[in-house]
Amino acid sequence: MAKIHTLRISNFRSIKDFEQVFGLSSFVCIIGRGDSGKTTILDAISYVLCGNWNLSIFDTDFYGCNIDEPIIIEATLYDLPARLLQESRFGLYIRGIDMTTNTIHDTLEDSHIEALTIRFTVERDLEPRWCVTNVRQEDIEIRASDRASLNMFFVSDYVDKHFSWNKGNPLYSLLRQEDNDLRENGNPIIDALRDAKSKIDNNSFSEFDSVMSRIKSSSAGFGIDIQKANTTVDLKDIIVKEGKVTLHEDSIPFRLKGKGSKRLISIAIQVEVAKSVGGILLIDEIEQGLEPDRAQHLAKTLRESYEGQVFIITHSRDVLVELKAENLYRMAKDAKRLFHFDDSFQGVLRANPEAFFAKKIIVCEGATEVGIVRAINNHRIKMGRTSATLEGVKLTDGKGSNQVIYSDGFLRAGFEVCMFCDSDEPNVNRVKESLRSQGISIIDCEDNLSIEQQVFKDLPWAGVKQLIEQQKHSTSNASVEDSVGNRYKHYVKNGVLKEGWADVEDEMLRLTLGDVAKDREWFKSITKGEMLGTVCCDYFSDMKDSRLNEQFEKLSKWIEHA
Amino acid sequence: MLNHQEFVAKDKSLLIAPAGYGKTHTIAESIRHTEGKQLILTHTHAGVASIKEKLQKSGIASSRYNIETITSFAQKYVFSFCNGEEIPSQDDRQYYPYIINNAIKLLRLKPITKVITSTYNGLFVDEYQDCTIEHHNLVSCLSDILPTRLLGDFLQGIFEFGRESLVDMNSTDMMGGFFNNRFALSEPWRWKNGNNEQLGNDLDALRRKLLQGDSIDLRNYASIETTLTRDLYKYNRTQILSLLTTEESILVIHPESARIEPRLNFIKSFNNICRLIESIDHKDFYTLSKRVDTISEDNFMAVIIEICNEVFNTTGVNLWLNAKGVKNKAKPADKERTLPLTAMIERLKEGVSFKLIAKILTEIQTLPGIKCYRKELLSTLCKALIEAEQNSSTVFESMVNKRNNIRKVGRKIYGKCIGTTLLTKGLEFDTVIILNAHEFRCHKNLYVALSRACKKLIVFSNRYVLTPYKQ
Repeated sequence: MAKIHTLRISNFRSIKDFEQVFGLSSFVCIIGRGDSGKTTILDAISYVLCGNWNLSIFDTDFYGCNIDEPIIIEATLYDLPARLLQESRFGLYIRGIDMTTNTIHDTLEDSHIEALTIRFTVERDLEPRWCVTNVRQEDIEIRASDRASLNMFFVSDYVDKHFSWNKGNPLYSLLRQEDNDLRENGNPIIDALRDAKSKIDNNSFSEFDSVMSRIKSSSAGFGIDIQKANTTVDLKDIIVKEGKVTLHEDSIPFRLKGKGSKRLISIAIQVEVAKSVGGILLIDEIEQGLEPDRAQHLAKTLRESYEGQVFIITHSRDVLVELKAENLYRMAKDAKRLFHFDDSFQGVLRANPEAFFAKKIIVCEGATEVGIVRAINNHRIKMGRTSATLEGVKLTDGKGSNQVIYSDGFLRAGFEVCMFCDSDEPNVNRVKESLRSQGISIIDCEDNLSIEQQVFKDLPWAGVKQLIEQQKHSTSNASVEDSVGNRYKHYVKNGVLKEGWADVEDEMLRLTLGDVAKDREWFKSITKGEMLGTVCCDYFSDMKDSRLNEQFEKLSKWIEHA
Repeated sequence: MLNHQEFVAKDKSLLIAPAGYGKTHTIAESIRHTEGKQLILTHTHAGVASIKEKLQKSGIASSRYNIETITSFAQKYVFSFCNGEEIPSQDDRQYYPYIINNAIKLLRLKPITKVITSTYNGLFVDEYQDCTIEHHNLVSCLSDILPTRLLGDFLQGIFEFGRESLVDMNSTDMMGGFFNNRFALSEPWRWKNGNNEQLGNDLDALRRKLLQGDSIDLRNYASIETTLTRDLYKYNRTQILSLLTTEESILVIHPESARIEPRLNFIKSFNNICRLIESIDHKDFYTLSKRVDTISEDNFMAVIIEICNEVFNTTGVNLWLNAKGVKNKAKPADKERTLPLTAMIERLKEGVSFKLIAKILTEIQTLPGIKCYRKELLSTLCKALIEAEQNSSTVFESMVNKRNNIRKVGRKIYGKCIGTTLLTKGLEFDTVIILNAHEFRCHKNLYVALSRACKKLIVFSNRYVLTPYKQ
C-alpha cells in the first residue's frame, strides 16, 4: 500500500531544495547525468519511509556538510494502509489531494483523496526523527512499525538478507500473509532447529571420552563435581540465528549467486509481497548486472504488472525503449524539480533513446550530419580538446523534418539543444527563426544549400579531390564519372569525362559535385558522413571565412560550451 | 430474551431499553457478536465510566471498543480538521452547536469516512432518547457508513423547557431505517436479586400504561406506598422526617423544576437533612460570582451579607452579622467565638482578597445557629474564589471553569438528596419519595421519577388517579 504523491527534499546530500509532484504515477523512471542527484532522490525516499527504528546519519549527509540547516525529507502518500488511517494512529492527521490540480490541502473536501505527509528531520545532533505533519496540528511521531506498514523496499547492492527467513524480511512477510496463525502453530524454523539440536544432543561424541574423563577427575580434585558433563550445541547459538536459515540452491547459498541474479530474485520476492499489500519499490540502476534483454524484460514486467509504485533509475537505452515517455522524469544538477516527459516524446523516445541521457543534444538532420559531428568530435580529441561525452553532448538523427519536432521537445525537457541542418528544406527554413528565439542554436547552410552542396562549395580543392577519390573507391570510377558527366557536359568528350577533369579548381564543377553528392546520396550514412567530416577537418585551417568553416567552428564551440 | 446476534447483524437496529433492564450488560454481550473495533457513544462522562466498567468486568478487550461522549467524539474531529480560530470559546452559547454541526459536515466528507471505516466496524449509541436533533443528525451520518445500533428509552426522553428539542424515538420519519428493526428488553433486572421484585413488576406494568397514554390508579400497585394528602407539611411531617432520618439512600423528587424555591422550602421545613442537587448551570452560581467580582474595600460587607442570605438561613445570619460587620455580642462566650471572624473582616479593610473572603464564608458556616441550605453553591463559590486569586482571574471565570469541569467529569450523587426528574435522571436510590405526584404534567417525567427507586417507593398525591399528560 501507499504511493508517493509529492516528495520534498531539503539539505540532503547533493540536493539543496527540491519538490516533485508525482501525482498518480505508479511507475517512475528517473534519468539524468551522473551526479545530478538521482540516487539522492531514491535514498531520500528510503530514509523518509524507512521501516527500521534507526538510521545512521553523518555530517556528509547534509548538503555541503552544513549541519546548521536541518535535513528535511517529506513524502505525501495516498492509497494508505487502513492501519495508518485509524483514528488512534493518524486518521485525524490526514490531508486531502485535489486530483484535478494535483495539490495538497489541509482543509478537506469531499472530492479529495486522503493523504498523509511523513516528515523526516535530522538536526545537528544527527538523531533522525520521523513524524506525521500537517498545518492544522502539531506534528506527531510515527514509529518504525507503522512506517514498515508502508512496505517500502530498496533493491540495493546489499540484498543478501532478502534471502533469509528473518523477521522483517520480505520472505517472512510472505509467510505471515499466507499463514496468519504462525504464532499459534509455532515457527517452523525454530522447530526445525530444535530438532537439529536434539539430534546433536543424542550424539555420544565418544571420540571426546578420554579428554572428558581427564577433566572430570581433575575437577573432582578441586572439589567440583562435573560427572554429568556432556557435549552438545548451545541452543542460544542456533535459535537466535534463525536468520541463518536462508535460500539455497543445491546447498549453495543464494548470497553466492551473481549480482544480477540476486537482484532479480530479490525483486521477485518483493513483487510477491506487493501483490496483496502493495508497496514502494526502489531500484537504483535497474540494468546493473543484467544483460540488456533481461534488464529490458525486468523493466517491462515491473511497469506492466507491479501492484505498488516503482521508482527506478536507469542509464540504459534498452530499458528506456520498453517504457512510455510519461514514465520518464529527468533530474538535472541543482534542479528544483524533475522534468516530466509527456506523450509527445513517445516518438523521440523510440528513435533516440540515448539522447535522453545527455546534457546537451545536437539534433542532426540526418545520418550525414551525425557523421560530420562525430568527425568534428574525433578531431577535437586529436587536438587535445574535450570530447562530446565529457561535455555530455549526444547526437541524434532528426530523421529529416522530424528534426524540428524533436528539437522543440528536447528544449522543453530542459536540455540544451543545437540543430544542425541544411537550408534546402522550406518547411524547416520557415520555423528556424521561432526555434532560435526559443533558445535553440541553429547551425545551418547558406540559403537553399544542402550540406553536400555547402561542402563542395567551401572545401579547399585538394579536399574536393580527396572526396572524389574516396567516392570512386567506395563505388567505382565509372559510377562517379557517369553521374558527374551527366550533369557537367562541358567536360565530356565522346560521352566520357576528360582525363584529369578534377585536377583544376572550377566553380561550376563545385556546384555540379554538390548536386550530384546530394542527389546520388554519396554521404548518406553515419560512416560516410564521418568520412566527409574527417576530410573537412583536415582542411579546416585552409577554409577560413567560409560558411563551412563557420559551421564547424560553431559546432565545435557548442560542444565545448553551449 | 434478546437475540444479540440478530440485533447486531442488522445495518440499523434500535433497542428499547428501559432503565434497570440490563442495557449496559446488553452492550457487552452484543460486542461479543461483532468483529473489529466498535465505537460506543453516550451523553455523559458518568455514562462513559459506567459502560467502561461493565465492559472491563465482562472481560472484553479494550482494543475492541472506544467509548466517548457524542460531544467529545465530535470535538476530536472538529479540533483536528477545522480552523481553530473559528471555533467559538467553550463558554460561548454557540460552542456546542458549532461543534456538532461542523462534525456533521466533516463526517460527510469521503476522506473522513475513510478514517471512520478504517477505525471502526460498528457503532452503538446509548441513551438515544437524550439525543438532540443535531446529535441525531450526527449519528445518522455515521449510520451511513457503520452498522449502527441505538439503545434508549422513549419514556426517559425528558428535557428542560427552552432547550433544543430532543429526538423523537417514536417517529417513523425521524428514525427511518431503524424503525423496522426494533428490539426490546423485557426483564426488570434491577429490582430482582434481593431488591424489590414486586416493585419491578409494578413499574413494568405502569410503564405500559404510560406508553399507551392511560391514566394510572395508584391503588393497583401494591408495592408503591401511596399517601393521599392535602398538605404534606401539615399532615405528614412525622412520616417524612422519620424516613429522612432512618434511610441511608433516599431521594426526594419534586415535580416543579422551573423554580428552586419549593425544594429549598422542603429542605428548610425538614430540618436541613437533605442536600439540594444543584443544576450545573443554575444562574445563582454565576450571579454570585459576578457579584463577588465587584467587591471592594467599601462594599465588601454588603456583598458578604448578600451571599450569606443566599446560602444560609436568614435568622442565623441576622444573629451574627449586620451591615457594619460582626455584631457586638454581650455574652463573653459569643464574643470569644467571633474573634477570628472579626479579625478577618478587619483585614479585608486593608485590602480585598478572594482567598480571605472564602475563609470568612467558611468561618461563618461554622457559627452556632447557621444552617447552610445550599452547600454545593457555597463550597463551589469558595473554591472558585481561591482559584481566582491563584490564577489572577475573575471569580466568574473560575466558576465557569468549575461548572464546565463538573459537566465533563460528572459528579457522584448519593445519600440524602432532593431534586427534580431532570437532575436525577440516570440515578438510583434505595428509597424514593415523590412529592405532589398529581402535579406531573408529562408522563415521561412521572416515569423517570417512579423508576429511580430500587427498593421502596413512596408517593404523596392529592388523588389516586393520575393523568400525567399535557392538555
